[in-house]
Amino acid sequence: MQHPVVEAVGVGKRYGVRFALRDVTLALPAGGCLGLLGANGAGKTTLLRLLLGFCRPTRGAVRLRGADPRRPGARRGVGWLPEQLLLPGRARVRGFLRLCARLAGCSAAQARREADWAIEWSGLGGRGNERLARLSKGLRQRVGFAQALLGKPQILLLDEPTSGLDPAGLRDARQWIADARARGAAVLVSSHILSEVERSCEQIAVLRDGRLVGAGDLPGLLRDGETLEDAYLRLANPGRPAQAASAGEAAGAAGAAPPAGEAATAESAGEAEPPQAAGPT
Amino acid sequence: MRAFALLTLAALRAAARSFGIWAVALLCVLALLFLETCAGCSGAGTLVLNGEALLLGGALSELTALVMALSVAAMLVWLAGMLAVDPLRRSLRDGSAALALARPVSRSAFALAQLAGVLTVAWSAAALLLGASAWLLGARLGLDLAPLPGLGLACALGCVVTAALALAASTRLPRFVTTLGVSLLLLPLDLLFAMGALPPGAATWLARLWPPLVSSLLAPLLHWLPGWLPGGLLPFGAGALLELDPAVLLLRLACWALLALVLLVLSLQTLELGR
Repeated sequence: MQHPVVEAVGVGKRYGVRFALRDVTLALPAGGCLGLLGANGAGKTTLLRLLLGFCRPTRGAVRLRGADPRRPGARRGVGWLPEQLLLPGRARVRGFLRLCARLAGCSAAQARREADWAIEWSGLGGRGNERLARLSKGLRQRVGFAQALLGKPQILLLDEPTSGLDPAGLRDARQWIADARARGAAVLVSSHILSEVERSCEQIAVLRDGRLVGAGDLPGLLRDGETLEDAYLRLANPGRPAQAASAGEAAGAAGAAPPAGEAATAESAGEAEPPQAAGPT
Repeated sequence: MRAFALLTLAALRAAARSFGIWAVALLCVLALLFLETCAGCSGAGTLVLNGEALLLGGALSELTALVMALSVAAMLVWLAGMLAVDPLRRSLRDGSAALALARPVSRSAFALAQLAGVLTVAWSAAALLLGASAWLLGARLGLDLAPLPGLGLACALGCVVTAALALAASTRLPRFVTTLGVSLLLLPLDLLFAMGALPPGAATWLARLWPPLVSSLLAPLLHWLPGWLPGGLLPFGAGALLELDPAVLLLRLACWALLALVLLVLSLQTLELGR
């Protein structure tokens, strides 16, 4: 069994009186890809922020390669693409990528090479000297991918990675994630675009109101005849399946019996105990 | 250390692209014109003291130099605070802080690099203006320049205090509150304390704890106060300034600089990023 490189154990995070996350346990091994699903406000971004050491869990622990991510050393080899990609608008693409590469641990010469190469593979060729503020949303997202992948990170945390990308960009993003996995990187993707998650990830975790309500490998998470969308609606949005079924959208979603032992899920009707872990631990 | 150097350089580049650097350049030009004009006066004049007219010869030049050096040094300390209102707040808002801190970069290194960027600009302006002051006062007015090293040190430490406190405050407070705090609280209150213009009691205690940003600039300059001018003639209770020990004030200021650095680091350490 592989040791997990990304780990959350019984994690809870409270903002004031509201729990953004409750008792979430996840694990992701090297080379694995976990898709994190959930409605808006379910706690996906909070979980990523905890994994980056941006905030402290109220309960439980998060670890990157066994270390507390609040320690700078633990974030070595971590690439992050934020959901709301805000970039320093006055900086130029090449200079920004060089700085990111240096901060990722590259030498000056390496950083120059990495930045130039990233500009090429990310489809930003010819825009290296443009200010970031002048780029379109799609191009900024490409810069986001480029900075996340600089220095060949071993852990990739991607929050809504395909946001703003055109069809060619979507295909490129898929390829970049596949390339990262091919060299052994663990990838955690938080997304609302289920088809992309389905294509890239073999493990799925579903959050609802800060709780982990479903986790496991993709076939194990689906009931008979269900698509990922059906399963997602059943788990993440319990009010939705009945409406969907009546509209003929989610055949078999409501009232279907779960296949035993395939995936750990907490049924929407009751407050069942959440599953303990996603992915092999 | 490497991350600190890289981020300091990035902070300097950001400062060079910002509006603030032009404001600094404009202030420097205005201050140089002010210095040039003030250093051109003869300092001769007549003072009526208890009904008797005293011919001052060139003695007023020392008072002019005192006011000139104090205002330039105080302006530099204020400027450091003003320059620090934006960088950390902006980098937290524009996402560059989060992107840097997702890398193996400590929050302390990030915060101190922002401070180093501000101080590089502020200290450069200070070196230019205090250097110009020294040259003008020495060459034109023939003044003894002994107080200037003390003034320079107090100015440098004052810049650290105002810049670090403004950076720390900018992580939590709105921009205008930080600006007002630097402009209306940090320096003016110490000036009032130093002048004895506040009522005794709690204010006296506060005065002892407050960063001596202005009084530490003023203390070495009192060397230029003409010997014949009794302390009682100074406005408000400023005669008390004559009893201040510049070394003690510098020590207090150094303690405040250390405290301000700790506050800056703690303010970023305890901040939840990305909310």
